[in-house]
Amino acid sequence: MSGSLTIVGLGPARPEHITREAFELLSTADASARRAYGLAHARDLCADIAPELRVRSLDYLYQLPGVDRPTAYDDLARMLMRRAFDDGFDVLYLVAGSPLFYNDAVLVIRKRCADRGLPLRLVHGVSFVDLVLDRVFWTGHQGLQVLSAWNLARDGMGLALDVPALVCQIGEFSRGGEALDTAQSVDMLAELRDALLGVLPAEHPVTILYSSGPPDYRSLARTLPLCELADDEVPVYANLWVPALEGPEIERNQAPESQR
Amino acid sequence: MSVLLPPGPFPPRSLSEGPDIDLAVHLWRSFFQREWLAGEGRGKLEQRLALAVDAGDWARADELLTAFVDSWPLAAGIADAGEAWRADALPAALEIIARAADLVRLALDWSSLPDGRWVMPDEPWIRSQLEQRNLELQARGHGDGAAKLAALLDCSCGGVPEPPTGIERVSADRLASERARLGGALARGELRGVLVHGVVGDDPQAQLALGELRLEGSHQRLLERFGAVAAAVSNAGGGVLLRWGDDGLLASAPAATGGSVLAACCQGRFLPGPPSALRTGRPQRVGYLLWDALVAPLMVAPVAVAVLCALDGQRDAAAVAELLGGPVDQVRSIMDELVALGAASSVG
Repeated sequence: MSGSLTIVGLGPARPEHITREAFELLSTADASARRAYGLAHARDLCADIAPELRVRSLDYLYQLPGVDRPTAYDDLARMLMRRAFDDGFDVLYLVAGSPLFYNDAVLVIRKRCADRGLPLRLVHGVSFVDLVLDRVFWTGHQGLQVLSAWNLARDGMGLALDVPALVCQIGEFSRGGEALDTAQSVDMLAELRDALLGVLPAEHPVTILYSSGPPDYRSLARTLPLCELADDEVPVYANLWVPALEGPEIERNQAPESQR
Repeated sequence: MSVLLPPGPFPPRSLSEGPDIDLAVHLWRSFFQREWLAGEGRGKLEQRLALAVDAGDWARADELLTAFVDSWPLAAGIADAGEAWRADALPAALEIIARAADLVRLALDWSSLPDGRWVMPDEPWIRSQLEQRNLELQARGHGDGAAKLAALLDCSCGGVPEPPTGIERVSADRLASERARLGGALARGELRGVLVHGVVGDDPQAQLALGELRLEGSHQRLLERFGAVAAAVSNAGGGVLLRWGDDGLLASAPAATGGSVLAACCQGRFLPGPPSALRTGRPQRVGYLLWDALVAPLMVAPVAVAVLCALDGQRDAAAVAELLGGPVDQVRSIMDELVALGAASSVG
């Protein structure tokens, strides 16, 4: 049976973040010949670009009683592969951002396809990292470490103090993200603050990077001393910029918002 | 010998029964009618509501209160819903009829069909429909009530037909193991849905399998909600269900015109409520505005119902205030709000 599986990154937010490859794939595809799957963000974007393309909703994966995120992502990967390679459909799996950043289902699909020698097409997308880094001045001279808030606060992972860090998902309460609730973000922030205060001075500048949300998705930033990190809530999917302890001065500065 | 057909599948796609006795058709003609829902059915619900409140059966009272106020839009909409179902098999019609079935069960204290939906009449009513004729019971689908009927009437029953085309029956405990085959068949359009019998437990694999059926089966959610009868739905609309109470199913009240003298455009009732207080056993007196149309019942302050009931098309605000012994400014303000809600309108 000749099916195919294509993972399409749709970019982090605005339609203009979609790559030309993804746009052409979605807008020129014969909608009836493709079988597309995605979450709400993907469906919203596709409604503009390819209104004929029916995107089947994967939102149910977040609503099943007793099914945790890792199990759901693993199951999703198996189902999409079955649909493509056993049932013979041309499957499009539409994901937010880049398929290569923080997407467990994509990771499972890539590994399984590699193990079984099955063809997989990746259509890359702009990642959230591109979007959030526009409010800081990252030189790249000392590298970059990307970690989740959970890694630092609860996994006990150490921070390399001479390398700037982008700490992701600081608004999420749990690793699985079961409690995506802004009001609970201060709990995670307090744990993150305490973990960072163990290795950084209280006045060390950190910058919260977040989005204004739809429809503009402006990149917003708030720089504050580390000791004040948990004083206010942050939106879900917020990120934290932590300059290196003795890194370039420019990396401690907040960049102005990009003109559009 | 004539054939006796069971009360399911329900609702019937046709009301003609020829020489047979079709209990689904009899049910429809007896209870799924404006006259019955607005008359005897509503009266029985009101009586049962009072009994439930007196007995402190708060969960039941909550259920009956909601059913009682729903009898207004259902009575207004049942004829059109029946027509839309028989002519075009529209899922929205099925939702309205399903809510009417809830009312019939509650009003008559009857049970549901063995699949947990629709209406299974009691024995006296069934016997009253048989006309002393020599009948041969013929089943026409799983969960259609034929087996129960055979037990009640102590008679044998003709064979059970296969599920409708494009529908497969699977027991809940086989869902996970059958998932790959079913999911593929649904995606390829060889199946439209799967009738799952038994309870799908919290086992993650069973839940994920059910999720895939819903994702891929055009009729899956309809089948889960309405049973095998949903196989007849012509356009499943991408699997999105309109539910009773949704804006898409119930319309807004017709626009009204303000004036110094108003007449009521709907009925007002004082009832024990609101539902949240009723559920916890602390009912208060609340008001409801109830339209003789497919419009959602609206809970309001009792004083609004008092004012509504005083609007006879002759009294102005001052006369209403005098009648009710209240301040005229407050009465005028309530009259304005009733107009805004489409509950009262200018005369002439």
